[in-house]
Amino acid sequence: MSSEPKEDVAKQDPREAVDRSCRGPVLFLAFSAVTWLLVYSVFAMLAGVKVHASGMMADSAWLAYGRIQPASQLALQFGFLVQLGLAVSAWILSHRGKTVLVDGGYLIFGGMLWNIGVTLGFLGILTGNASGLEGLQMPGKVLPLLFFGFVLVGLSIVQTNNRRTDEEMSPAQWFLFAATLWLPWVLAGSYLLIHFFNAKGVMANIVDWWFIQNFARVYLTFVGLGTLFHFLPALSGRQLMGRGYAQFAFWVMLLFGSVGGVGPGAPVPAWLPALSTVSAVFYFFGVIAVWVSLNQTISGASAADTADSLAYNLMRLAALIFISMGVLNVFFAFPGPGSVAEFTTYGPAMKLLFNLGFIGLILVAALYHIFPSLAGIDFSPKMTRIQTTAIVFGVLGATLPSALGGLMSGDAVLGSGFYFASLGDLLLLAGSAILFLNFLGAILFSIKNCGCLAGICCRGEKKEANA
Amino acid sequence: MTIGLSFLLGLLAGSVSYFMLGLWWPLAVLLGLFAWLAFGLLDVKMDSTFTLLGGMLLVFCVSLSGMVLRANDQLSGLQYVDTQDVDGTEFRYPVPPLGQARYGEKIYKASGCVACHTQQVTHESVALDVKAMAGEKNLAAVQEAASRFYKLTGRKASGGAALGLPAGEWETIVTGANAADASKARNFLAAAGASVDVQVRFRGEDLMHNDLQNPEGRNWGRRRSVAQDYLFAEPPMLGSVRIGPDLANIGARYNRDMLMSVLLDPKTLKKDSKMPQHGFLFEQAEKDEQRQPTREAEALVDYLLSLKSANYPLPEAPVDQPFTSSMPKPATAPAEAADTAKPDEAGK
Amino acid sequence: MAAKQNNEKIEATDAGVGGPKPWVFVLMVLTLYWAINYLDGHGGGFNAKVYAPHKDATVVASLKVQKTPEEQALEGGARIYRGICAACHQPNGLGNSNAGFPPLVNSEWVLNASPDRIIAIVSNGLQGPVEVAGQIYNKVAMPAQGVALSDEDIANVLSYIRRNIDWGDAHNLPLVTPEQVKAVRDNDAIATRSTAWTADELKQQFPDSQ
Repeated sequence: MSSEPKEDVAKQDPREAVDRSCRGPVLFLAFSAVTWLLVYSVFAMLAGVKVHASGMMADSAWLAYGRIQPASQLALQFGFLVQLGLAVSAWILSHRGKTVLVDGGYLIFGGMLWNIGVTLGFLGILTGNASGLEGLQMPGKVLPLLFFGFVLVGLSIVQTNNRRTDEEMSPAQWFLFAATLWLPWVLAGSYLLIHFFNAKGVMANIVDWWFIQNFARVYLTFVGLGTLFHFLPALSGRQLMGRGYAQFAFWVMLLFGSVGGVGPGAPVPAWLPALSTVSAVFYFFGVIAVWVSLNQTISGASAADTADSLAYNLMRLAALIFISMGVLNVFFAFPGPGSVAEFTTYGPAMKLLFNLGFIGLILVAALYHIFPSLAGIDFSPKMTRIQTTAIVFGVLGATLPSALGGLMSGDAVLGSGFYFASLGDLLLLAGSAILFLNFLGAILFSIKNCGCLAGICCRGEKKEANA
Repeated sequence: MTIGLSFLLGLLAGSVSYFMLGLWWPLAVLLGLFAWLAFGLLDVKMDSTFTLLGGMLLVFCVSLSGMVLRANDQLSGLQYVDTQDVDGTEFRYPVPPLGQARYGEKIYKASGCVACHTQQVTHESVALDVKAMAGEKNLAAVQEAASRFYKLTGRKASGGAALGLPAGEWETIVTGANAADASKARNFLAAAGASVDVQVRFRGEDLMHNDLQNPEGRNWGRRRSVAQDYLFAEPPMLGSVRIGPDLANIGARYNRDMLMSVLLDPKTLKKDSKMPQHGFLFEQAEKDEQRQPTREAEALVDYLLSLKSANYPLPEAPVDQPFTSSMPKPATAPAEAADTAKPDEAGK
Repeated sequence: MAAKQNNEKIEATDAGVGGPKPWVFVLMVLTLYWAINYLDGHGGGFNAKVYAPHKDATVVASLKVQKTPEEQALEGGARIYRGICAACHQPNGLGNSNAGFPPLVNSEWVLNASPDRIIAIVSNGLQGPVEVAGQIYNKVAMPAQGVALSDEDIANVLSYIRRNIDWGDAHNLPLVTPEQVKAVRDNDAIATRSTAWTADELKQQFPDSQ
């Protein structure tokens, strides 16, 4: 299954060849992702300010709260998380499989299509063409574009995985491979049902909930877990323990993460909320299995011994957030607690904690770790420390108070100001701005000084030179 | 390792046969156990992408058909139903958005009102009231049945029931009971030969306020929302967060002027409102002139006024049903009330 | 950077193969049993019309006392009366004497002990003049309704007008059964008749009921 070793590859360290094949595509996706994170934090900040000062920018339809809030969510989920997830998946699968990234050009081209799609969707929401559905806010017309963009990226990733050196796949590879396949299926299914077959009445919402559930509980979770399953053992220099637990978790989370997501009060027949409760309970088995496996792997390892203590600590924090959210999710899946939390700011707060605190932190930590080998230069350590602190405290500050506030205020959120405690948003904005500058600076510096990135723009010339 | 995967496949087989094929559940459990064994023997490995892909496709089909397509089977056939207005006028429901309301729905969607407002009235519990009427002949038996019910459930008699159930009058036996208690009361009383009626009341913070029966009510609807309400919504903007009030029934609560003033400056109606102003829906010809609503604002308000969904009774979501007199046939008295057969005969 | 790379060990295979112990699967089977019970209790039997997330909703349906045949007949009759009869005889049954529509309330034709005569009127119509409650109506031209209504419909609507307590104490006659209607309508004199009755003909055809 291994790729034909090329002349020039054979002469060099294979890992360097792998890195070189990843360099352009992964950095392109990662840089777009970081840009979208900045866009997200700017708009999330704006949305918070709009609520404090209700008269501000009241005459601009573009900047109505109802438009910038969903637009910022789109930037976060489809701009930042999906793209950085693809970048990290591509890196892990090629490194894990000890093979060069196949057809990196597809990855770049697909990434461009995806970026165009997200941009069009973002502008579409701001100009008032939102679909009105929570999970797929962007206008329906951009969904095919997103689909094809993702499929192109996915083609490259799946092919890379198929050419892995070792026949046996490890848990990290299962999870990332499955995630890469799952999103286009779900995206296409939702698009067809909602926009092509014109789902009638609440059917559109049911499909939408199905998409949200699959996107969060399967796609994003699998990207996050796949990254954890690769990096936690790799960074601590240990072997992954409990492969059987990982396999168990894989199928449980796939089966029960793909069903449900209907709130207890939703205007749909009672079996849908009941099924959601049941699937959430079974999903928890998978969460526990992941925890057992990871816990066995890293127990006793101290951060000081690890290859990259910052990335390692961030990932441990993310794993902690993952298990805490798992417990909370299963508790609030029951109709009693669920109807207390339903419609309050608890929901969006937990969504943000999931997106940034779990997936976001893992991916950013992975980026910290893979960036130097790709760009040939590390992030500025001081800026990295500041931005990491700002992002971590920003995430916790923007989510925990509003989650608590939502629960305390009960169903009546009308008076709750916690959600818009904008300190967290401000920290996030600062953190993502520094991350963006850090990234940009490192790339510019590396292009200017050491020419390590020559491969991105003038690969052809380099090949000729080698020949 | 294989025990895990085969278990899941067995679980899958069991669930599919129960949920999708509608098998009797012990049979489904048996089938699942059998499948567990069968798949376990096959010794599935996780090493090839083919295994992964096959399993994933299977799960995807189960997820899509078990949740989405099954719901589609049930909900895509919804049609008009007959209901009645508050004053008793019968009409076909739901009413499609008329006039500019359809355009207003687009404005609602474009402005992202769904980010802060839900359009779904929920209920939290169901409470049952039981009334009974005894005749002269069976008065004693009915009284005995009622007192037996009170003794059994520990509830206290009130009103006419406390005074010993005068014959020929509808008297409330129990209010706010759960289904089990109401079922007991109904069986006891019916077996004693009384006329019994059961009234279902939905309770919850969203529903109509009632000092005694629903003290936390916020008057957001007369009943909970159901799929029927959203037959003409494109798409139904149910929302998931309530920064502002629920709008499913806003047309029954607010009038045009109030809605306009809220859009222009929400703080005129509620001081601590968090709603942003919607100045872009209003235009000002000259500086000193008062701001006039644009066509968009008018359409949006038309749409909001058309939202009266949680107002009309439907079979699946009744508005508080009035008591109706009804004589249960002796044959319908359930078998579990067999111990009450004696008072029944005595009543006759 | 170099340090990072060297420290990282990407193991080819994962050594720990440990997986969930058998009791985990036993627990999952127990959870499955719970899940089935939970769905039974909260899923509303996978019925499209059950929305209450509690067992109550299904119980409620069984709790509702069945309507008696009498109530069903009277409700069905009321619906037909509102749809067909009320246009002339008015919803309150008092008719409109100025326009020549006789009342049904306290009408001797309606409150006859035997329903045969009124069945015949509904089936084939009635041609004036006719005396109702002491007043003579000359211009009566009631159209035949027999074609559009089934035996059961006629029975229901007649039960409604003969047993409607709101119209007065005299309106307390027993229900008209579809069998009674069928018996009258199968009668040759009615089945073959194409013109409306006159009052005299009716009295002649159904003499016993006066």
